[in-house]
Amino acid sequence: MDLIRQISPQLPGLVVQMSEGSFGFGPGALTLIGLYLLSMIGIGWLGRMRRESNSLADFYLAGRSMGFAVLFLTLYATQYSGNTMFGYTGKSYRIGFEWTVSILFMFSIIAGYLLFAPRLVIVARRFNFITPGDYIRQRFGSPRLTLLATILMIYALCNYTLAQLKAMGAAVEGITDGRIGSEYGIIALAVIMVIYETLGGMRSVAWTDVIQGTVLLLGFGILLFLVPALGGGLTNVVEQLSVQQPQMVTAPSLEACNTWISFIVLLGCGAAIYPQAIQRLYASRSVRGLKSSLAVMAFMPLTTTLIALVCGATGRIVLPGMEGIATDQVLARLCGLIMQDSAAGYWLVVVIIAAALAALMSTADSALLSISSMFTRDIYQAHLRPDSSEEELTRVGKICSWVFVFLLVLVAIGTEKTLVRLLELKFEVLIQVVPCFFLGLYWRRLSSSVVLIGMLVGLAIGLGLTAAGQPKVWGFHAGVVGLAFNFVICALGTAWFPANLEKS
Amino acid sequence: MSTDSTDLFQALEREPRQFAWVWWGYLILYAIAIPWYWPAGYRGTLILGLPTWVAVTLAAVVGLALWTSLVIHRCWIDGSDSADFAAAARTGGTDE
Repeated sequence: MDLIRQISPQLPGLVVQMSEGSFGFGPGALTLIGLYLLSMIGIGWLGRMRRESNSLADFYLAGRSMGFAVLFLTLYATQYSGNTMFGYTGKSYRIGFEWTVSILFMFSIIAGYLLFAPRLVIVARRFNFITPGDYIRQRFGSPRLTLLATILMIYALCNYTLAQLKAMGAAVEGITDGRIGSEYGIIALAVIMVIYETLGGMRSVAWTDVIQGTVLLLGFGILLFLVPALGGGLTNVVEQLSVQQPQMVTAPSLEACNTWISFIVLLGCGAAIYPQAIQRLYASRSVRGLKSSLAVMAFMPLTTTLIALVCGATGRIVLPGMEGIATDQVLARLCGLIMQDSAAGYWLVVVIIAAALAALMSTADSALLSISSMFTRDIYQAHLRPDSSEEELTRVGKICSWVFVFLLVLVAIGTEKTLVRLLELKFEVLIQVVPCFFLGLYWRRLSSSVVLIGMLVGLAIGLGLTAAGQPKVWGFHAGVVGLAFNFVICALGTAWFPANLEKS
Repeated sequence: MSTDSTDLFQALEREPRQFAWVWWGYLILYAIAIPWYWPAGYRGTLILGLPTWVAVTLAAVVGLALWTSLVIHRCWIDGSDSADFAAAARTGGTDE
């Protein structure tokens, strides 16, 4: 559970640090951040103006018109959430350089795409897919399988959005020095987000991602420039760690290496089939643009997660003595130190916090748009109103966004921590959908019933082990163990009970 | 798929899955990136301020990124590589 928490964007550090009110911003900085947030609505409006038709493809896939630059920045802003800045820094503070695995597993998401994207892009164009469920329905012809996979994906994305909303509230409370409560922060940012999203759909989300991705890159650049200097440079940080905490700079044990492998599988498979990521594959203007975007994305962990790792290690020397969940506030505290240093430092921290808000919003808006599309297409149209027009579906999608945001805001404001922890099981759940894509695109004789059984068994094992207090087996995450059984069932099922190709 | 898969993927001239050397390359680079082969408690000299084993892992990640870039450009060849899908959709033309 602890490891799963690390890849879930909770930003507890931001919550703690900011609720202590130790770096509330002045009116100038707050105005700047407010204008930055309001500009998102302006971009949403521009997205609406560029609308070409009132169709699902235009609303949810920006008319399949994303070129290289937009596609790359929206992939980047969506893949790297606020947790990359705060959660990963906290984890580096706790375990040191063993968290180098985060660079490897974030890279593995791109390698994961190579296992299915070349074929998925072709069938998506051929059959005009809007959602991942469209592919599953087309490939397997099973409403039950499509519905189950859709529910699992919506569940995973609700978790994702909920966590981002909670962190947004904490951020607003922190930067206003408690003058605006977290609940109002959640509501305000959620409203801004859903306004620009429903104005222009994917086009607005992608264009805001361009701004947010750029700010995020800038924020990480500033962190790399400022934070190691606080510890006297990286060499000095590592030398001091070697004396004070030698286990934080030495190579991990063999069992820890199993966990590295498990992380690579968990993220390389699970995050690659995030619905919002799959929809960005569908939305590319050309295969060439998509390939170029993915090629550049392969290098982005080195500009993002590596910096978080360095910041966490530096924090261990500069701010020793933090323990447990409080360690996730290390980056916020480092920002506090930078702010006190100079006026320039203050404004650079403003950019860093803007980058954190950008990371949160860009991840949440993409997840929300995917939830809306899957509900509209794979539940409303598929099961309730099969004859509905494109206009009606687009309208339902927008209403759906507001309803989901309303419900998630209610949960984010009122929920108990225990419920949030239940929702943290997103990868254990989502990863069981992987065979639909990784195998379904290549094994013609893989049948829907075999995939369905594999998915159910994988889920039962992943969730069962976690519920039994065994989140890891020999260092492997429960979801990965479940996925292994899922794959075995698919392989044996295809060999023993192949699909009838003539019938399909 | 409900249409013949052979026809459906004809436009895909090359895909990474077809080439065994692609996956051998990944296997070797991942084997280097995962620090299973260092003795327990090993740090090594500092390279650019990082412990040796971290520097080796990062070098392998750079290798993986370069390898992926190569694989994407050399082993993922789609006949419709530069086709503008949005324009095709607007004019009602076929996708591929």
